[in-house]
Amino acid sequence: MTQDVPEDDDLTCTQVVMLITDYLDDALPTTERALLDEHLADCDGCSAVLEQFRTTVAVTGTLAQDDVDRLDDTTREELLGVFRRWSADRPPA
Amino acid sequence: MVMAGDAAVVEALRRGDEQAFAEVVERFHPMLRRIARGYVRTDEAVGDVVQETWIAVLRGIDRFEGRSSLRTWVVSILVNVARSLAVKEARTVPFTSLGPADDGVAGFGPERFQGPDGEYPGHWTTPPTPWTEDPEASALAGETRAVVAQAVAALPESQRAVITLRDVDGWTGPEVAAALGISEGNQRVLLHRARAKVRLALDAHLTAGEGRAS
Repeated sequence: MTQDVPEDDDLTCTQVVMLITDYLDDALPTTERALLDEHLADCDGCSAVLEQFRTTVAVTGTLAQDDVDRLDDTTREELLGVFRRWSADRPPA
Repeated sequence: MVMAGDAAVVEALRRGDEQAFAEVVERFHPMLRRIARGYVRTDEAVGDVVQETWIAVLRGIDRFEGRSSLRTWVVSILVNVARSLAVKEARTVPFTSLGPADDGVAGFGPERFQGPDGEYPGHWTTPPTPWTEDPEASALAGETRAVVAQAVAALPESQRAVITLRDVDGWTGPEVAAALGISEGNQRVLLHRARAKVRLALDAHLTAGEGRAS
């Protein structure tokens, strides 16, 4: 048995690529996770894809820094107005 | 998952505590706008969705039972508001359906894998190579973020909602599934498709000029 010849229960690269989010979420059954780890140890292509997904997640996370969606003063006042009207209409507890 | 302090915040809102409302609005606002953007087109409509959401939250505050976290509950209300507004704009697809499977394998074309007659079927023909540039490096960061923002904006609404909550706002899978009313499995399928498209956009951006996408 050599390392390079796939065995019957080995995962293919297409299977690995489809399972990367499950892998990152730790949502795979133990056996499948072990098979995937085994595949990654031998496959530079799939390891590169895993790393690229990790980077993608990290870069997507930086979108939270964009301030286009920050609360502006006008909107804050409008929403506080909504609250005051709601509060005034509320029957006393 | 109920956040520490949710019960106190809800109790304050019920009492009519304006400061508590101001704080919770401040905390949730950017996230609510990010999610609303996936459903409606214009900035104005996004503002309307967020405002309608807060009205619905206040009207329903006495019914909040704390079975989910406050933010999960608020986002589930926002999604309902946004979807009914999107229906009026006649641009919505059933959220619970996953939609057609995307072409290729998570963004990799079928030609990237060996066919059934290949030496190793299902394995790479041309394996991807690691990105040589670090997209998070400061010189690239602004440009890269714009590429990612554009890729996220181009996603179907269900994928966009999931990747925004998971990867931008850092929610857990179960929490996203609860807020969107989908199964955890479907949540992960949508997330994988979304990430695959963003990865593809990043790949095109990072390997531009190198002659070949990795």
